[in-house]
Amino acid sequence: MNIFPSQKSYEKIELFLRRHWLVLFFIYFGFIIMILFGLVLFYLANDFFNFQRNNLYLAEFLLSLYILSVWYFLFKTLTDFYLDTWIVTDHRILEIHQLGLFKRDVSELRLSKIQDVTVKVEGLLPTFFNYGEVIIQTAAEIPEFKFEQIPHPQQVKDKILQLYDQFIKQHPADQEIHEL
Amino acid sequence: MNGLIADLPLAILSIFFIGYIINSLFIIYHLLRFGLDYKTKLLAFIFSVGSILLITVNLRLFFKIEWTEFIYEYLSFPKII
Repeated sequence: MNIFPSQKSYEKIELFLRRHWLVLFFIYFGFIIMILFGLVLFYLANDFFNFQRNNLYLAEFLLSLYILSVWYFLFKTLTDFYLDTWIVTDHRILEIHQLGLFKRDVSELRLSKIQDVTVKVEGLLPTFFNYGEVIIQTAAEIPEFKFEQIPHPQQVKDKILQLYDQFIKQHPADQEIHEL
Repeated sequence: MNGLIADLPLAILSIFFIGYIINSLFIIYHLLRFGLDYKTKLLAFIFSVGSILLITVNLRLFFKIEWTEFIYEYLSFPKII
């Protein structure tokens, strides 16, 4: 079964990566704070102005409209999070970036084009929670592939290098043996 | 004229909801079309159900409000009986 549309029948997915769960945690945390802000504002306003019938209905309506907007922006952010993926197969690397709702970048790199792989873990939280960037220098049209905020970057780097070695051994002339 | 003014909040809310629904459909489309695992499908489902519930609550609250009372009280339009 194909996981992504252009997957070849002989291609095996080795890594399927998204940003670290801490990034997701911060998204949820931010939106919980926004919801709480709306609720606190509503109760404070109610306390201060002591809303009567119609005014109370209006305040409740405005609060529900605010929650609806927060709900929308939460899922817009989650869409960006879940559609940003990095896929490493035993033949190539795919970088899929969702930039807002109407911009989507899909880049692909054949493993033989890898020149250099670097790991970058910067800051307190990335060090504690073991996430960071894996930067792949290439000999292809796109000079650099960047895996952003991914978990266990060192293991990812090791896996990519191991797959590279394996690929070079199996494809000595950089020719696809499965399609001959 | 009074009827038109009284319908103004509903017209504004309708424009807001049309915008919301169109944008929501874009989100759902992206999650279903480009998502690569079950999580995005689940997310699209939760978003749809949540949006329907919130819109229903919103509409119920909207129709509880006596809009004409507000319009004549705060915007001081002359009331023609």
